[in-house]
This record gives sequence, C-alpha cells and structure tokens, in this order.
Amino acid sequence: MNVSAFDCIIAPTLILLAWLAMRIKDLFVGIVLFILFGLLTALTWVELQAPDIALVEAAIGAGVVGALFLGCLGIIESRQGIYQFPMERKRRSLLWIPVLSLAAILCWSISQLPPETQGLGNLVRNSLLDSGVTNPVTAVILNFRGYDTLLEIGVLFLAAVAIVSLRFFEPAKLDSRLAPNSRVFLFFLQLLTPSIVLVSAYLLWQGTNYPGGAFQAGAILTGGGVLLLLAKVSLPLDYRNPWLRLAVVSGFAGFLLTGLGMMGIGMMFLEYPVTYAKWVIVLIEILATVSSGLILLTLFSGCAGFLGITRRGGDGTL
Amino acid sequence: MELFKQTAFFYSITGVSIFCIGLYGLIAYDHFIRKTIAMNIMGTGLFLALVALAHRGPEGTPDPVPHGMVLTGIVVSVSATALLLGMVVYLFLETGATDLKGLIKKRERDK
Repeated sequence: MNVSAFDCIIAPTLILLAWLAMRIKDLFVGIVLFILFGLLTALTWVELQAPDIALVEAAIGAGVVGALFLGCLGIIESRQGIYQFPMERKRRSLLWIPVLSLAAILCWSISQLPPETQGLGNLVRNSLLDSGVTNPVTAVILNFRGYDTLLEIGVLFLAAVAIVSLRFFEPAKLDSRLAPNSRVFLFFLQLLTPSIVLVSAYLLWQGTNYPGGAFQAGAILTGGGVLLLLAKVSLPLDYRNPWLRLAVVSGFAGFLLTGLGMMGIGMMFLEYPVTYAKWVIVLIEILATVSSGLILLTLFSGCAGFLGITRRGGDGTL
Repeated sequence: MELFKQTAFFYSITGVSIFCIGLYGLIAYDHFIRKTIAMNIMGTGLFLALVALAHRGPEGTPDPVPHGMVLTGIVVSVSATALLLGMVVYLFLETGATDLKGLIKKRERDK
C-alpha cells in the first residue's frame, strides 16, 4: 500500500505535536497538546488497520494518561501557584548529534527490512478456530500469548500496590459543597454514567469477535469513575476494605488460577480446552475489566490526590 | 527512497522521528512532568514503528501479533507513567522540588 494524502498530513502533524508538547513553555498547554497527540495517534492506528489499538490509545493513551498528568499538575500548581515554569534554556545543541545519529541508524536498519513479509499473521489466522474467539487480536492477547497479558495485568496490579503504598498525600476530602453545581454538568453526568457502564459492557462482550476487549472496557469504566470523582461523589476507594483489595487483585489472580487450573486437568499452563476456550476467555476478560478499571481509577486517585487516609504525621500540614 | 512510499515504511520512519524527539526531551529538560511526557512520546514512537512494520503482509493484511504486543505495551506504559507521577507528587509534597536541581538545592539548604 502506498502513502495517501491523509498520511502526508497526519505524520508531520504528529511529529510537530510531539515536539511542541515537550517544548512549549506552559506545562498545562504541553499536557493538552500531548492529549491531542494521543488522539491523533488513535486516528493513525485506524489508518494502519489496528482498531483494537485505536480504542486502547483513545481511552488509555490519551484519556487516562491525560487525566493522570492533569491531576499531578493540579496538585503541584495548587501549592506552587500557577507561574510560568522557567524554561530550561540550555544550549543542548551537541545533544542533537547522538540523537540524530541514532535516528539515522534506525532508519537505515528499517530500510534493510524486506518490503513484504508474512510475519505470524497466517499462523494466527490458521489456528483461530482453536482459540474460541474470532477477533485475531483478542486471540493473540488472551490465548496464544497469554503470558504477556498475565504479566501485563501483574504490572498494572504492582503499580496500584505501589501507588497505594505512597498514599500519604492529602486525605481525600470530598466536600460536596464544592461540587460543580452547573445543571448542564449534572444532567450530563446522569446521562453519561449509565451509558458508560453500557458501552463498557458492550466493548467487553464484542471483544471476542470484533475490536474491543477487557482493557478498553476497563479504561472506559475508569473514565466514568474520574468523572464521578471530579463531581465530588465519594467512591468506595478505601483500601482498608478487603473487598476492594479482592476486586483489584481478581484480574491477576483469576488469570493465574485459570492457568494453573488447566495444569490440574492435564493441559499446559495457560492452555485452554478448545470447546470451552471462549467461555474461559470471557471469564478472564470480565475479571480483567473490573480489576483494570479499579486499578486505573486508583492510579488516577493517587496522582490527583483523591486517595489517602491521613498524611504521615497526621496533622495534615505540608 | 521508493521503499518509503509504502505506508509501512513511511509510518515507521515517522515513529523513529517521534522516538528521537522524545529521547531528546527526556535528556534535555529538567522538569519531572516534562520528562514523563517525553518518555510517553518515546513509547508512542516505538509503538508506531512496530505497528507500521506489522503492516507489510500480502494484500495489506496486518499481522495481529505486534498489535497484541503494542496493546500490552500501552497498558504497561500507563502503569509506569502513573507510578512516576505518583512519585513526582510525593517528592513535591515532601521537598517542594519538581526537578533534580531543586532537589539538590533543597538538600544543600538543609545541611
């Protein structure tokens, strides 16, 4: 396939946005440009026929990461005052030499690759019938390369454990008097919260056959949670509650136990029986959706100061 | 040059450029949030190159294995970003520093 006019517009725009997002003086503007960069990247994934990645990028890469950055900047600016961050105007011109050499080496090695290759595409398509699902990407992440996804949920879980261990931020004081009382916002919230749950469930279910899946669904649930937190609705994010801990670990533990259970009935670790493969995958995906949604919400709460019981020392002063 | 008119090679070169811009930013700028943005930009560049190169199949059918790997990669990079930002906030609340220089200055003042 040859480059289209759309590609010629989007690729330079991506490069320009990446450059501006880092370079621009005001960090807030930089973060907004980064979110824009993420959304344009999602469009690029569609162009590259990767709709699964486009969904993840739009929900996580632009959405959740953007919320994390804005939350973190919000805490810093609320204490430091919104001043123009002094731009580090160092003359780093020499740094361009190694960076550009690396770019040249990478471009040269890419040009040495064969222009057409089978890759593993045929192998996946030929074994798709054994996987229990018809979306090849879901088959890869939950069946053929289950190890990757198991460890991925493990990393996500570890990040949540680390963030919860750092929770000597300000206590999460959710003063409902400070809630946004715009009627437009409240109406929007009432309309959006149930539809977010519905969209998430739909993405989860259709992930077996079409683009979508557990992480996309989880990220959309997180978006709903972030919206509720910003409206000062208190969510049960108290990590002293064992049920919350159980829900957070359920994605990783469920996946691991399923894998081990398969060993118990004489199969390999993470190998599924062909006839039940679809239901095993759906079960793992449901657990992964709930726990990844909660974990991403925990990560946001940690970075934006919504998490925490009391500060260490207890007097709450900074 | 004929090669780079193919979508796969065109976007992988775009990915390399974005990766290198991110690498420059990661080294050149001081503010921790700016460094974290740069790290995310590097990651996106890498994912772009990987997915673009998966697009070389016959009849333009993409290879789903790199797609799955990139999906995993995006989730892992959001975990890393959250951990970094959580520590940036913690460091700021404890020391008031948002970059390494501020941290060193604060340490010298404390002595």
